[in-house]
Amino acid sequence: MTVAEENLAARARAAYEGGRLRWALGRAAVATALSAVALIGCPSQAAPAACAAALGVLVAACFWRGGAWARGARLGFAAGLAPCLLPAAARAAHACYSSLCLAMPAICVAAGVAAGLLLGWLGPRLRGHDDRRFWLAAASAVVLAGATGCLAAGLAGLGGMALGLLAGAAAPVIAARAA
Amino acid sequence: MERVAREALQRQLERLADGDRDAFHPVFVRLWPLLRGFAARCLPREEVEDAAQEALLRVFARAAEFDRRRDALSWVLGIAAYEIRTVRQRRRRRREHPEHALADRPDAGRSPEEIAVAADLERALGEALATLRPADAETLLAYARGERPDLPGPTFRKRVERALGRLRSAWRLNHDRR
Repeated sequence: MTVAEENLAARARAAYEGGRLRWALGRAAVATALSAVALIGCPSQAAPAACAAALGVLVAACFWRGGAWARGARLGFAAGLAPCLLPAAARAAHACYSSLCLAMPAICVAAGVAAGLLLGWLGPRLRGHDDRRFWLAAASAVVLAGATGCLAAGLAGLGGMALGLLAGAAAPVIAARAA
Repeated sequence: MERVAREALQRQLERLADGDRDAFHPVFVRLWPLLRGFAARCLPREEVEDAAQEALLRVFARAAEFDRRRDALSWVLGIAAYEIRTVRQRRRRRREHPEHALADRPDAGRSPEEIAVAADLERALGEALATLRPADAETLLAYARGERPDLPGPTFRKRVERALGRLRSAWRLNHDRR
């Protein structure tokens, strides 16, 4: 390569990284906006809002990096939508009337199970599932998205979601080993 | 482009869209001559390099958006064609508003000889303009100043073209006499 071509390659590389970052930030903004729906009617918004912001940063970083990181974050976010939005849906449906809602931990457990099932069933079918980075990104995204919705129910909600998630994710793995 | 090269470009662009930085160099090496050749078919030589570079940078800036279901070559050439159209439009606008082109030109200190030649040309142009009908001269002066009389665009353009044709004839006549 000539010097001019090397210079052009450096500019092209910068354009690629810049374009990739813009693209990732666009997707992160969508993910943050979707998870922010969980804040509607939430009695204490600070911690869930911090989780939504952290989710945005995680999605932006994973999508910018690409490969197994991006695929894992995409799956984790999709799975995390259930525990993220179900508590808000329950509030909207007036299943809870006060800030202390006894049904909320149960809702978080159920949503966690749904998210875990999706992770455990779909994850091993996706390209790059044998890469640790894929599962690290997926687990981080599902926990942050789920926490955005379930933190409204306090630590009981978060713990319930975590238990449900583990149970849901373990089920397809156990079924596959038994078969 | 041969089928094998086309398939290789497809695979490499898919990897680049997926975030595999190792695919950058092969894509660059494949695309740069391709885009330069494509621009050379559509633009005058002095504009080829700039347009091809712009197209290349745009392709890389949008590589993350590439959808693997699409044909890579068509996608790349679509972006390049858009860039080339932009270059053409810019050139046409420069031609329509010559005062902008003059304002953009760097002020290189002109030699006395160049000033004398320019003055000669200006005088000759004035003489040629004087031989035109007043309506034609007015049309050309309005066009040169970037003014638009109260006329529909196509009518004004036609008048400018006709007046320019007459100016050319007058110019040729004057120079033949000399």
